[in-house]
This record gives sequence, structure tokens and C-alpha cells, in this order.
Amino acid sequence: MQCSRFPVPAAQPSASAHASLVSRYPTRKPLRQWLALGLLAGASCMATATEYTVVVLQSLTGGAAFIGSPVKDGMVLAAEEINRKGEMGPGNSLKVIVADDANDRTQTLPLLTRYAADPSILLIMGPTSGALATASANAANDLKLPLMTTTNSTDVLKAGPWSGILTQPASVTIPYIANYAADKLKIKNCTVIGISDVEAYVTLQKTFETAIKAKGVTIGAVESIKGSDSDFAALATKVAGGNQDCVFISAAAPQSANIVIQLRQAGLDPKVKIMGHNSLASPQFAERGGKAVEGVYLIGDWVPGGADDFGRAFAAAFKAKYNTEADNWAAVGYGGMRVAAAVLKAAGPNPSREAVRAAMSKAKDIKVVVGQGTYAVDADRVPHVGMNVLTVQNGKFVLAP
Amino acid sequence: MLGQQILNGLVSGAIYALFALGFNLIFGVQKVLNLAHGGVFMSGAFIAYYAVVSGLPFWVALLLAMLACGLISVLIDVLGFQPLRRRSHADSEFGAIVISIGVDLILASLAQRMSDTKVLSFPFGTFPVEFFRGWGLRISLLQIAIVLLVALLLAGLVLYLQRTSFGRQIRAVAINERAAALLGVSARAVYFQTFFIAGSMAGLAGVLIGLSFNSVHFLMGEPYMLKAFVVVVLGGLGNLPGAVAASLLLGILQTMTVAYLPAGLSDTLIFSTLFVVLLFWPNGLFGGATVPAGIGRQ
Repeated sequence: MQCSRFPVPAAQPSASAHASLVSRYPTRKPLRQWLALGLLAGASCMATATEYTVVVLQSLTGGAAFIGSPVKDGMVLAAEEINRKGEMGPGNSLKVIVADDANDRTQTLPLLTRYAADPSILLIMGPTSGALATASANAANDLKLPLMTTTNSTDVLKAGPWSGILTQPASVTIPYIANYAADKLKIKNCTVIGISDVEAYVTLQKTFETAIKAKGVTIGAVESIKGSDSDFAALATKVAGGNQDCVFISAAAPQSANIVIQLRQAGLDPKVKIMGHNSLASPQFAERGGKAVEGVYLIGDWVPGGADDFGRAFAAAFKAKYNTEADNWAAVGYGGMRVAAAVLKAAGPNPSREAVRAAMSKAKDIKVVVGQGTYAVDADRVPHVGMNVLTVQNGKFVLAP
Repeated sequence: MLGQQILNGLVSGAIYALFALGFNLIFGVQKVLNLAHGGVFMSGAFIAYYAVVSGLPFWVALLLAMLACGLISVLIDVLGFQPLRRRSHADSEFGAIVISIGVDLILASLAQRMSDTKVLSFPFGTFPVEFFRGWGLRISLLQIAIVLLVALLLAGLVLYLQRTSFGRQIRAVAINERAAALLGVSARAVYFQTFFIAGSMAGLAGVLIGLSFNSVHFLMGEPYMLKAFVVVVLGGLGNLPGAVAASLLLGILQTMTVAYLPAGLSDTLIFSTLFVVLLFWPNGLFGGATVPAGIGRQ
């Protein structure tokens, strides 16, 4: 007897257990008794099946939508796969509600309050940007609503035990590129160009400066840009006239590609190594940068195309569903939903929010498609996935030698 | 490096001028701040981008974008500003600002949906990437085209406003709409022309700027709107040659701060300059709409 319509949770007797139970009854039982037994079993399945409700609250509009939108796509894809493969346990399922934080506190905080009032909602995956995440983390702790923000800001963790972060903070990721620059590329003097009006980029930039200085590398100049800038002619002329063997860029992928193009056009010495952090690991960087970005070094949660079979399967599924290549954020989103599913499963059948919160703080050995392939949080609830140092070769990201 | 940075500043200034000319033209005639100008500018870049990727030649895409943006701008006037003009002056000014913000948001939202929030870029080779070098300076063919276009547009606009019958009608409506109407000038036709020209110029600016910086984005108009405010205030509200001069000044000032001052001071210095100018020259460095070359509405 299968519980295909009224699923049985993993903790309940399995289909084979039901079968063995049924086999103890002789065939001479009247039909109505069989029917009663079937109904009872069905009711039992219905009562114990768990639908885990998760809200994907990402920036689908507004300034952070370039992150939130692919994260949402990755999460939806993962949830569909998880349900299709029955990964939540026989009959159990993930229910995903997609919502837009619009990168706006005045829209996000009322949404959180609304979700907190709905007892079926167990976990919020979002919001997207750092500033919004910090404000939401305070609200989530007040409302005792498990919240896993997309940001890597550790301020979210400081807000309390109900709020977590999905992506690794700069202190975990940046040393990968700083160490590579100093140890492998033997960099001596670096110029840093970074967005100054987005907190996450500033943090990444400062962490790089600290990490590279700790390796004995000098920071020659630090140049600020704005997230909305596109004309870098003056900056590029200045940097090209400087004396450095490395330029580190802390900006979004399309903007970084523009900076590299304009640096090359300004006559930057081809021997100067150009590098950046994980925001460059987007197909847009290679597409928009063309030949100019060949040889640029970066770190990536995600190796485009996938580093292993699991990653390659995700890349193919994403392409099939959305007709576009998966980027870093889509991969983060996909991994994020897998983390959510593992946490909810670990919280047990029909879990309370408290159980989900407790499971969030103990997440470990969760298979994801980013970093080194396994997600875990440490004692301080900081996530660790690992990073890959990549370089652009023939228009594609490959692992750096 | 100084020569190159001055050249960079002039090119940046020309780009600001390209954007600000249309913005200032509308202000000069109708005396409203059309905050949807950034949205129209962005629409131009999007229309040309989609035209190019669908296989149309660049020059056709450019003309299509100019035409479409001209019509969008006219539509904004017909649906948004025209009903307001029938009301009191104070209502019309405030209402126009609110309406133009709304239109800007609508255009940005549509573009965001179309682009899936991505930053788009014209395919490589859409415009020849050629650099000319000499006397230690470097300039691209596209930059030369932008500078020449600004010069041509300014000359063309001044000639149009000062030497043609249509231009005289525009100036007449700008000075006194009622008196112009009594003399047989159709204010509606004048607004149609003005908004069409301003919209086409915004579209042209959007295409060239999107192409120049390899970046077509639904929010690409916002930073230029801020700079356009600086330009129109420095250059004089409604003063077109003043707007071009202020744009060039702004471009050079910004470039020099990036090149020679500590990082991040550029905007601080620019907006401090604006503050000082407003304090001592409330009509801008080059005079406001009352100067002969201006077209301000009295």
C-alpha cells in the first residue's frame, strides 16, 4: 500500500511496513473491514504528512534585484527538484511562497509581520541586501521567526539566534584571493578600486586590504566609485599612469567588466594582474568584458557550468528551465533552498519554529553547488562553503592554476 | 596625464550636455522639471539595444530610438502635463513634478521587467572601436562622435529657436503663452515640438551613453538626472548654451577631482560648488532664462 496521495512521513511505517501489517490479516476478512483499514491508513498518512512552508523573500525589483532575482530562480528550481525527488521524505513537500522585498524596508518589515502571524510559515529565505537584512533580522528576532538572509553581513547574526546568513562573510572568502595574489602571483603593490556606497562591497574591499597587507603587500592607492557609475575614463587614466603590479576591483560584475575595459583602453600595463572577488563570477563579466577580461583572477562560490556532477546537473536544469546560464547568485539560491530543505527536514515532522531555529544553528554536511560543495555553520553560526580561485580563459571561467 | 584628463573631462562634459540639453529645453519652454527625462533617456538605450540585437543596423536603431523617445515624451506631455496646464500655475508645477516622477518609475519598471534586471550591453562591434592617439592623448571614435554631436545639436537648436518660424513660435509661447495664442500661435503644437525634440535628444543621449560605457540598465538615467540638475542650475535654467558650458565645466571639475584629489571627494566638491553658486549667483553662472539666448517662459 502506497501513500502516494496521503503521504507518510519518514518516521511513520513505510509502505513495506504497511504491506507486512496488511499481510497478517487473512484474506477472509470482509470487504468493509478492508475498506475501513484502507481509510484508516489513508487518514494516518494525511495526518502525518508535512508540508514545509518557506517564503522566498528576495529583491525581485529595486536596486538589489540583480542579486535577488537569480537567487529566487535558483531557490524555486531547487524546491521543484526536492519535491519531484521526494527528498523531504515520502509524501512530504516543500511549499514555496515567492515575495518581493523590493529592496525597501517599508515593504519588507510589514511582510515579515504578516508571515509571522501565519503559523504554517516556518522559514523566510531572504531578504537580499545587507542593509535590509540587518533591519529584518531585528524584526525576525523580535517575532521569533526563522530568517536566513542572502547577505553575508555578520550583523545579521549579532541580531539574535533567529536570523542567519546564507553566504560566507568576507572574512571567510577574501583570504582565498588575497593568499593567491601574494603566494602564487607574487604581488607586491596593489591598487584597489571599490564601490563606496554599498556596504557589502566596502566590507569586501576593506577585508581584502587587511588580508593582503597581512601578506606583506603594499596598497598603493584606493579609489572609490559609486554603484551607478559607468564613466571610468578619468579613473582609468589615473590608475594606468600608476606604478602597481595588481589592481583589485570590488564592484558588481557588469561594472567591473566596464572598469577593466576602460583600464585596458587607458593603456594599463598588460603585466598588471587584475583581480576581484566573487561578484565577478557572473557570466555577464566574461560576456561584457570580452577580450579585455581575459586573465582576470576572481573567487567564485560557483564554478560556471559546475565543478562536479551535482553542479553540472544544476547548470543544465537551470538552463533548461530559464533558458539562461546559471550565475553565481542562481547557484547560491539553489544551494540556499537545499540548506533550507535540510534544516526543515532536520527539524522533524510538523516542526515548530523553535525546532527550525535550532536546526539552522546546527546545519552541516549539506550538499550544495557552490564553494567546495558542502555547507556547514560553525559555532558562531557563520557559514562555511569554501571558495574557488578562478580565471577567465577564452571567455570562460576556469579554475586558476 | 593632465592633458588626457582634461580631454576626459571634456568628453564627460559633452555627455552631460547631451543629456541636459533636452531637460533644459523643456524647462525653458514650460518651466517644469520633467523628472521623467531620465526614464526617456533610458528608454532610448533600451529601444536601440533591442533593435540592434534583433538584427537592425545601428543607425536604424538609433533613429528608431530617437523617434520612439520623441513620441514617448509627447505622450507624457499630452497625458500628464497638458491637463495640468489648465490649472493654476502653482498646481501645475508641483503636479508636473509628481507626474514626471510617476512616469519615470513606470518606464524604469517596464525596462526592469524586460531586462530581468540585468545590465545589458550592445554587441561588440555595434560601433567601430577605434582609438586615435597623438600628443600623448587618446580619444575614441565614439567620443569624437559624441563631442561633435553635442556641438551640432547646440548649433542646430540655437538656429532652430532663433532663426526659424517654429523657433519664434516656441519662444513666443515660452515668453507669454496667452499673448502668443492671441497672435495665432498654437501652444499645443509648440509643446508637441518641444517635447518631441527633447525626447529625441534624450533618446539619442541614451543610445550613445549606453554604447559608450557598455552599459544599458533600467536605472541608468538616475545619475544623469542628478548631474542635469547641477548643469541647469550652473548654466542657468532654460539657457541652452549655458547648459553646455556648465556641462563641460562639470565634466572637467569631476575628472580633476577624481584624478588629483583623494578618492570619493568628487560629488562632495560638485555639490558644494552648486551650493556656493546658488548662494552668490541664484540665476546660475551664465544667467537664467532672461538672457537673450535663453527661451524662458515669463
